[in-house]
Amino acid sequence: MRKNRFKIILIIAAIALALYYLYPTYQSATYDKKLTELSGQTKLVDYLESHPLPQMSDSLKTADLDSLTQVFDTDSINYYDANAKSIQDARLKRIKLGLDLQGGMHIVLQVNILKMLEDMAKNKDQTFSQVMQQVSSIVKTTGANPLTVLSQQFDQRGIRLSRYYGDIRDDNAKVMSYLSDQAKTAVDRAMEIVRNRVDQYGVSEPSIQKQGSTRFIVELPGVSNETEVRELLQGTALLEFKLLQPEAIVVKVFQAIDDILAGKKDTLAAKSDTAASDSNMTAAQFAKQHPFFSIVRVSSQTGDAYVAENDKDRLDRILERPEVQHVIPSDFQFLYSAKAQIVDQGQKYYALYVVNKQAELTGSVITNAQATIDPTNNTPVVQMTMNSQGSREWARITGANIHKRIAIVLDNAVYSAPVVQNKIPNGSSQITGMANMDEANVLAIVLRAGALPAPVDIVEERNVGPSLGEDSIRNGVTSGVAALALIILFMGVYYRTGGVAADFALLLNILFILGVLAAFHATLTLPGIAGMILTFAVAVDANVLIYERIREEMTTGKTLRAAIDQGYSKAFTAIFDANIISLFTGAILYQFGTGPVQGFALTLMIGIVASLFSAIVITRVIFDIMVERGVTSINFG
Amino acid sequence: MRIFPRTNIDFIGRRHIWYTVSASLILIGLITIAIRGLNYGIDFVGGTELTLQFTPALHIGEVRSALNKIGHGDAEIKTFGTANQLLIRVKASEQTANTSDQIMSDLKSSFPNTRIQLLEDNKIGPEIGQELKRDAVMAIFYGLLAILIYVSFRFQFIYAVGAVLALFHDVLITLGAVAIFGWLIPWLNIEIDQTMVAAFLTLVAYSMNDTVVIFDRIRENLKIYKGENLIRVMNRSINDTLSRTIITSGTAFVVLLVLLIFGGEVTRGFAFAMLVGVVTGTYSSIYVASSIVVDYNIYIKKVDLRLTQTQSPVLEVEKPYEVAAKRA
Repeated sequence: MRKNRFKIILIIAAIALALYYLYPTYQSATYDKKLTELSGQTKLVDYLESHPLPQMSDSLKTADLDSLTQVFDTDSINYYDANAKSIQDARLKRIKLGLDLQGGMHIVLQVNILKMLEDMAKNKDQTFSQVMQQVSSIVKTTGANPLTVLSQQFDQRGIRLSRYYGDIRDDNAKVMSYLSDQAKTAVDRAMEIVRNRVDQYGVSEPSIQKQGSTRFIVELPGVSNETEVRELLQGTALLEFKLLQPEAIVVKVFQAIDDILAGKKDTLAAKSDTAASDSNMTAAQFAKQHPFFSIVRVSSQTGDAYVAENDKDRLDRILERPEVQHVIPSDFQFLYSAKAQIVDQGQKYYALYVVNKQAELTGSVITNAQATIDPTNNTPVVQMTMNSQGSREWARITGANIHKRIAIVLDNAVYSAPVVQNKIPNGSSQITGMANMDEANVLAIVLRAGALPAPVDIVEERNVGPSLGEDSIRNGVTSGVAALALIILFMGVYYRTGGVAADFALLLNILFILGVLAAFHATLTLPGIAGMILTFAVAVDANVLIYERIREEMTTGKTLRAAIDQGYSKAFTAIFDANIISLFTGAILYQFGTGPVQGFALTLMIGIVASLFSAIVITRVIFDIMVERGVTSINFG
Repeated sequence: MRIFPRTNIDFIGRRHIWYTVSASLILIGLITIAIRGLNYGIDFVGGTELTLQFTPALHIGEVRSALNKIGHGDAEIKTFGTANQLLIRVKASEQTANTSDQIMSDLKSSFPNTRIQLLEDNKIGPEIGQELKRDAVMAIFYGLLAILIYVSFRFQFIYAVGAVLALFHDVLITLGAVAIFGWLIPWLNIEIDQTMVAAFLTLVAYSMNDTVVIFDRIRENLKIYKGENLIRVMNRSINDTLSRTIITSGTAFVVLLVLLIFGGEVTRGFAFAMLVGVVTGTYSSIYVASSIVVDYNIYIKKVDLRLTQTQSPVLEVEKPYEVAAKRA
C-alpha cells in the first residue's frame, strides 16, 4: 500500500478534479431541461390539443399563436430570472458543443482591401476607375498585395497618389504609409463593428476570432436566420453623436416607471408589504417596493445608472410594456454601454444612458482618430479630426452644450460619453477619461469605423440546422455506447480479471477526457466524439500489449509479481514510442485543421495522455494492491 | 482464453508475393483515380451546398425541374442518408451571396404542400477551398516528416524509411479505396473533405503505432540474439506480437465498423477511410515496413541472409526458461 500511496492520491485527485470540472455541465443540462419543461412551446402544444384554434386566416393564426406563446412563456422567463446568475455561470463553465452538434452559423469574413481603397478615394474620375479596374484584375490573377499594385499602377501612369488620397501636398511615401496603416487596422475596425452588433443581437456565447491578416471568424451558436445575420455582419456601420438627456428629468422618469411597476402588482413585482423605511429594508423587500431601482442601480455620487448583465433582457421587456411606454417622453432613447463598466462579485454591470433620439451628428464627418498619450499628465487621450462641414456643425453643437455630455454611439451601443469642456471651433477634438491605452485604442477604432467602415466579404458560411445537430448527437452517442460495450465485453471475456481492471480504467479514462475538455473550455464536435471513440481502441491497446507480455512472462515460470513487473516494464517502450507519434500527428492536425477537425485533434491528444495514465498507472495500482493483499494468481485469461 | 496459440509463420519469406499484391492494389487505385478522378467535398472545391429534408419525400427529378427555373438545373442533387433528405450542390462559379436563399424560396413556392426543412447549408468561396487543400497536403507532409525524424532517432534510419514507405502505401491504398467505393457505391456519399483528411492523418498514426510495436520487438530480440539471421529474428518478433496485433486491429476494426454503421452521414467517410486504413496499416507493418528493412540488408548492404538447410525461417525458441534467463 505504502509504495503506491502517491499513485493512489494522484488517481483520486484526478477523479475529483474531473468531477469538479464536469459538475457545471451537469448543472447546466439540468437547468436546460427544466427550462424546456417550463417553456411555452411544450405547454402550447398541450393546450392546442385540448383547445384547437378555430378556422382563421394564416396571419391571424400566427398572431394568435405568438400571443399564446408569450402567455405560456412567463413561467420559464420567471424561472430564468430567478436563477439567472447560476444558469449563466454553469453555461460558461460547461463543455461547449460545437456548431455541428447544437446548430448555428460559422462565418469567415474577409476585409476587402480593394473595395476599401476605392471607398477611401476622393475626387474619383474616369482615370481612377480605369486604374482600379487594372489593379483589381492584377490582384485577382496574381494574388499580390493590392496596395503595392495600386502604387505601381499610379507610378506607371505618372499620377501622384495625393490626387486621390490624403492631402494634396503629401508625397507618395506619406500617402502610402497612411493607406497601409488603414489597411492594417481595417480588420480591427471590422471586428469591433461586428463584435458590437453581435453583442447586441443577443447570441449566447458568440465567438469572434482573427484569422491571418485580413480575415476573422464569427461563430453564432443556435442562430439560423442567414439573411438577418448577413445584414448584421455586412450592413454599414452607423456612428452617431447623441446628447444625454438632463439628469433631473431622467431621474423623474425613472421614478415614474418605478411607481408603475410597484403599484401594478404584476408577475415581476410581488405584493408590496407594509411600508418599511428605505434604509433598513432587506434586498428582497427593496425589490418588492422598488422593482425598477432594484434593476437599474443609480449611483448616488455620479448619478450614473447601471444594469447587471443578467438584468438587461428583463429591463428591455419592462421598457417595452405599454403602461411604461406611456410615461417615457417620446424623444428618450435607452442605450447600454458597449462594454461592462463595473465588475462586482463576478457580476458585470453595464452603464445605462438615456439620450436624445435625434443624433446631433453622424460619424461620416470624421477624417481621423488616433489614440495617444497626453504628455502633460501621462494619460491616454483620443485625438479626433473632422472635415470642414463637420467642423462647422461640431462648433455649433459644442458651443451650445458646454458642460453637457455627448454619447459616442456605434450601432446603438455607447462607447464613451465625454463632457463638453468648451466650444471646439476647428473640429480637432480631444477625448479624455479613458482608464487605459487599450480603452483609448478601441475608441479610436470606433471613431474611425464611423468614418471608414471596412467593407467585408463573406468567404465561408456554414449553417447547421438544429435538427441535424440533434441527429448528430444521437448518432455519436449511439455509436460511442455500442463501441464501448463491445470493447468492455471483449476485454472482460478475453483477459478475465485483467480485462475487468482495464475496463475500469477505460471508464475512468472517459471521465478524465470529459473533465479535461471542460477544464479547457474546449468544444465538443462530432469528429471530436469520433476521436473519443477511437481513443477507446487506443486505450485498450496499451493494456493488450501489457497483458500479452505478462502472459508470455508467466509461461516462462515467473512468479506473479515478477511477471507483472516485467510485463509492464517491457511493454512500456513500445507504448511510449507509439503514443508519442500519435501525439505528434494530433498536434499537426490541430495546427492545420479548422473547426471540427481541430476538435477531433484535441480530443485525440487529450485521449492519448489520459489513456496512458489510466491504462498504465491505474491498472498497475489495482494489480499491486491485489498482490499485496496476498493474491497469488490473477487471471489474465 | 487464447485465440492465437504460439505461432511460427514465415511472414518475411512470402514478402515478394505480397509486394506484387500491394503494387497491384495501388495501381488499380491510381488508375481509378486517373479515370474517375477524386470525389472532392465542398470543403475543397467551394460552392453552395444545401441539405434539405422534405416531408413528404420528393423525387430528385421534381426538385431538379424546380431548380431549372432559377437557372440551377445543372446543380448536383443526390439523396443524403434517408430517402427524404436531399443534398443540392451548386458550383462555386455559379454561386452568388444568396444562392441558398434563392433555392429555398424557389423550392418552397414550387412545392407548397411539402414541408421543407433546412438541415445544413454550406457556402465556401473558391479561394478558401484552395487554401484548405493546401493546408491538408501540408498537414500530411509534416506528419510524415515528423514520423521520419522521430523513428530514425529512436531506431535506425532504414527502419524510418521502411515505416514511412509503409505509410505512403497505406495512404495510396486507402485513397484508391475511397475512389473505387465512392464510384461503385455512390449512396455511401464518400468524398474527400476535411474530416477525411483527419482520417488520413489518424490512419497514418494508427499504422505507425502498429509498426512501432513490431519494430520495438525486433529491436529487443536483436539484442538478445546477437549475430542471428535478421529474417529469423524478424519472423520471431512478428509472431511474438501477432496476438496483440490481431486483437488491437480487431477492436479498432469493430469500433470503426460501429461508427460506420451508427455514426451517421457526417462521420461515414471518416470511418470508411479509417477502416481501410486499419487493415492496410496492420498488413503494411509486416509486408512493407519490415520487409523493406530485410531487402535493404540483402540488396544494398549485401548481407547474406540465406538460410541454411537446417535453419527454419522462424527463429524457434524451444526452452522458454532459457529465454527467460537470457532476457534477465
